[in-house]
Amino acid sequence: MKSKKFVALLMAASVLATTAVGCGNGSQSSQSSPGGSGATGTQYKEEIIIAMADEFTTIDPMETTAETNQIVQDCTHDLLTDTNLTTMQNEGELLESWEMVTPDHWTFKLKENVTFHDGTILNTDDVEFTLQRAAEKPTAANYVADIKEFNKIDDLNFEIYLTKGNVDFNYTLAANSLAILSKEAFETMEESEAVKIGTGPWVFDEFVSGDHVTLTRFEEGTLYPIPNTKKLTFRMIPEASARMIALENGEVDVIMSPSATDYSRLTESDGLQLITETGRTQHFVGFNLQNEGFIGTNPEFRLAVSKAINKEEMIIAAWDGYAQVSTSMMCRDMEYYADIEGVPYDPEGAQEIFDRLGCNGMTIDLVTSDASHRVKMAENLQSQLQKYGITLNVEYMQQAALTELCTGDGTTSGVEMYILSWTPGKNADYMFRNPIHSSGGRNYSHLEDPDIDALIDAAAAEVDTEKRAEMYLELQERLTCEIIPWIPIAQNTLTIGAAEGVTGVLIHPGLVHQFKFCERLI
Amino acid sequence: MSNPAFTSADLRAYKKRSLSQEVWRNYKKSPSAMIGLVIIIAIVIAAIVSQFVFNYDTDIVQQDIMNRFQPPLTEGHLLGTDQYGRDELTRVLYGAKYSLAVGIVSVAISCLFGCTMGLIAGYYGGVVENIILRFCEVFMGIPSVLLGVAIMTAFGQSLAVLMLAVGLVYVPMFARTARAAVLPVREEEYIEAAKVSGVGDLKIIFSHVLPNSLSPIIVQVTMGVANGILSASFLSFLGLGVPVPAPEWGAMLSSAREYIRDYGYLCTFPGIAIMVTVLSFNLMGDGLRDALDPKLKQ
Amino acid sequence: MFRYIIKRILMMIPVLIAVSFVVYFLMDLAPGDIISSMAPQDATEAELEMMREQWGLNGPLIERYFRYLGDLLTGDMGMSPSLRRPVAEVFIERLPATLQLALAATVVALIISVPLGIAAATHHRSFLDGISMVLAMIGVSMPAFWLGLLLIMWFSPLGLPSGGSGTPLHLVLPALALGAGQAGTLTRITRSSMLDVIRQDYLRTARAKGVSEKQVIRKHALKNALIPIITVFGSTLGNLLGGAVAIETVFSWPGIGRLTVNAVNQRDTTLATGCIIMFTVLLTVTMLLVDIAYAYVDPRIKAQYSK
Repeated sequence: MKSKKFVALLMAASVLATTAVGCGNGSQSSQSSPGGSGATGTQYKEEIIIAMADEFTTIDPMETTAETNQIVQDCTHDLLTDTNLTTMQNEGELLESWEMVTPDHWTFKLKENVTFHDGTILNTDDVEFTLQRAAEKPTAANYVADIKEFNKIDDLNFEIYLTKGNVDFNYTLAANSLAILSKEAFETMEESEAVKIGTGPWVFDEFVSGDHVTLTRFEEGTLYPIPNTKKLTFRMIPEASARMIALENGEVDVIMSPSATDYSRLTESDGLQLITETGRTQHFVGFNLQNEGFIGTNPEFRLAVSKAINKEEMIIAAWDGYAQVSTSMMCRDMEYYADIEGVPYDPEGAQEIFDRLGCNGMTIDLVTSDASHRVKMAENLQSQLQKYGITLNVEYMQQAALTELCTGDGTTSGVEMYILSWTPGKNADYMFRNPIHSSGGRNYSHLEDPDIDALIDAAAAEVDTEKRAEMYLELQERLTCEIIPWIPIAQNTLTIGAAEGVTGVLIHPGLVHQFKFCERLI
Repeated sequence: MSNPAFTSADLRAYKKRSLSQEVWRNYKKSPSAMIGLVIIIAIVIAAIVSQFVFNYDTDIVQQDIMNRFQPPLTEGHLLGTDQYGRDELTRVLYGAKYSLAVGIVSVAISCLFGCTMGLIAGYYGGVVENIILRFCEVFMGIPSVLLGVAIMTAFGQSLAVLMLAVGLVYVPMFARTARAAVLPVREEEYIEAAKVSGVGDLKIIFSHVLPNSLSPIIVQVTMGVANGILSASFLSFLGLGVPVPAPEWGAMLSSAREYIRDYGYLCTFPGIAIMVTVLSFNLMGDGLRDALDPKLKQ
Repeated sequence: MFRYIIKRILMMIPVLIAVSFVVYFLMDLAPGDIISSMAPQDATEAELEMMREQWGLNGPLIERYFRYLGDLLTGDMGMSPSLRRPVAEVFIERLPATLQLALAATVVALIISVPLGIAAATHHRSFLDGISMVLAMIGVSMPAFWLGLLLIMWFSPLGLPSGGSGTPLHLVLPALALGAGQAGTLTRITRSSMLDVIRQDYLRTARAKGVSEKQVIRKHALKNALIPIITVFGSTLGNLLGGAVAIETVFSWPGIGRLTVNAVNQRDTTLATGCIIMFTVLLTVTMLLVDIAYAYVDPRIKAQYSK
């Protein structure tokens, strides 16, 4: 009976192999155990598990700009000011109030009696320490580069002098990298421990690289009401379909960026919900205006391409229809956004210009990154322009390489067209300063137009809101319909999938979604 | 050999012909090998004909968004349409050329470099052999998939780079096969005889060593095409191979992957195409091995 | 024998240095770098330089490589910028997942291939033989990642997890997908080595003595056929690890294969080079172990080494 023994041995080995996997990771029991501090007999699920697409790497707010890290940091740390995701207004988070004395002189007052996770009370020294630390960190330094002087007035009041006037300094303070850290924690603990100390409603508990991060609620917190959920776990599941299945099987409560093919499943199935919000990312098809041999330096050609693109079709191809057509350069929910008509889809008009310019049979190079929606946009654009007799030769590259190529010297880079995107802050200046202004770091089109530069500068310094609105309208009109350094295509819809009963999840247009008030009724 | 009309050249020609005929006679006996051969011929014909029947710009690139996700057996679309409304059958047929091209060219590359190295190592021995073997060891130590990934990343995605990457990865394998095939021949008396009579090394290698160690190399080439197609399809699946919209089978699987739950057929057909092609080359390789070395056949 | 092992291990060092050189330079050729993808949208060149220095990626290529090599030779594999942790630590953390997958796949492969191969050999040229050879051939010819996709398509609607890790159930589909290809190879080997053994004289003798066919197979043939199976198994381990890269990608399995592919994609040179070096070590050491095991099984080979 040797062979039977042999088979039995193999079976035993297989069981061993499978159980060994089970041991390494935390179990997901505690599904229905009652908990929470609901007063009127309502019960909340003790642990909420959020499935993330990308890897969490650090809790240190000044070491990262990756959204996945910032989502977790948003639960544990607070900022001086932050965007209220319901009203979309900039509000004080740790600040009680502030005042712009002059554009280069600001005074601030902190909220009283805010406790850190280590028990200490927030005061002006913590703010000063945080800003000083930020100045030494490459990912945070540029937010504090303009600070000339920090003056402590007392424990709660301080003032800041800037090297140059900035009427929107309160928006700068909302940068996630400037989350306030505890000075005392850094004096008494190892740096790696001290960075975990924040004022948020959640305390950093456990981190297993490549697998999950667990937060527990801050029982002694004073800034926020104590959460009804006891534990918040962020689990990494890179594949969208796998996240969806985990949600359906009840392994997780919330999933980040579900695949568009699952949207109908989320809205129609019992026990599941789809949370949506239009994002603030402008996806565009751009031109290099400094490439002399390129026909795109001719504004007529750019206008023709603008007319030639059926944006709705591209939206179906790239986002299965879940995006809003952009008619203006500017993103929809920004201040001073004007709902202009832009350049409507006009295939005959486009063909007429193309014929006049002799574009039939022409080949144009386009570069873009290997991100899935960009590949789909490029494939669709290839198909659309083919109808006008223009062959698009697409090269896909890694995001960083693409940025480097498109921001490099426009006369020698050889770039003709590209597909890129820009995610500005809420303040209107963010829309133009970096990607349009000739001094901007992301001026992919290499536009150098003194009029436009002057307009951007003037609008940023203008205090009168009506005049400011006019200037931004002019910028939008001229850039979208006349100069066309790039053609705005769409703002895609941001989505989160969740189980029934999950509340308190807020979508951030810049992808740093908010989970700190997340709870689930059972 | 007293007949003056019967020269040694005639003898060689006769021997050659009879050898290949012998191999073919043996090969024909195996039904599975014949099936493999027939399928390969069919795929080659499909790859060539589709280049003439279909227009790359209108049939491969052009999308028809309103007709996306038509299921198989829809009128006019035997295998349905993909996420952009393009005909799946057209794409699968057109895609044959990429896999065949990568498989064959990459093997040609690895065979050329590998066999040269292997022949030199096996024939000369000593320090040269040692250096070549160490070199092979370095490249065989790196898992071939990862080496392929690194090469594709370094040189960018295109058909030519893909051929080169897959080809380079298999160089050491060919070198070792060739060397192993040469070793027993090296000691043969006729080689000694040729050396003593002052024949040049190159001539000995090409007219005596190579022909007598050809069988394992031929088998390795056939199997190599199969392996090459598999590796290339995986690199394309990772998004590192032939860029879209070229209908390379691995790339098609990669973009169909997100629709797997609702439109599984898009994940099925390109995979079947890869499998059938690889299978045929494997069957042919098996058949050739048996035919070249009847002793092995049992 | 002992001297042989030492020699093989010492020979690994130059090989590894060469591997590190090849991979480090390939990674540098690749367009894009990790630092600019980590930096904020509006970072200045000075800030980028600061970050490069922080992660030891400043200076010209040759200088960077030799600094890396120097650290490597002292056992320091460096810090990964993308994960912000020591490379060695991350690798060791992810290694068990891959080993579990490989082990489970091996178990799957053996369960399928050994009985099938033996059945095929003992029923030589029968219908069963034909079917099992066709199956084996399909297993060998099927891209592992595609089989993975098919399994997801067929089984995830039934509730089997199609990605990630955590419970034993998560291991089922990846192990099947990876094991099937190995099973193909092993079935063919088992069959042919069984065929060789069955024809041996001592089995003929046993049969002639009237020992039943089943007994012959169980008592004599299987044991002798195992030796070549073990060797081939050793040499397919490389395939197994390579296949793991594909399967880990399809099933989001948190192993070293996916870690490496991600590192290359993100241009994290330090992590990618470190991972590929460790992969090479893993592969070479396994080969060595197989050789040693083989030497103990087959005395003829042992004699060869001691020369």
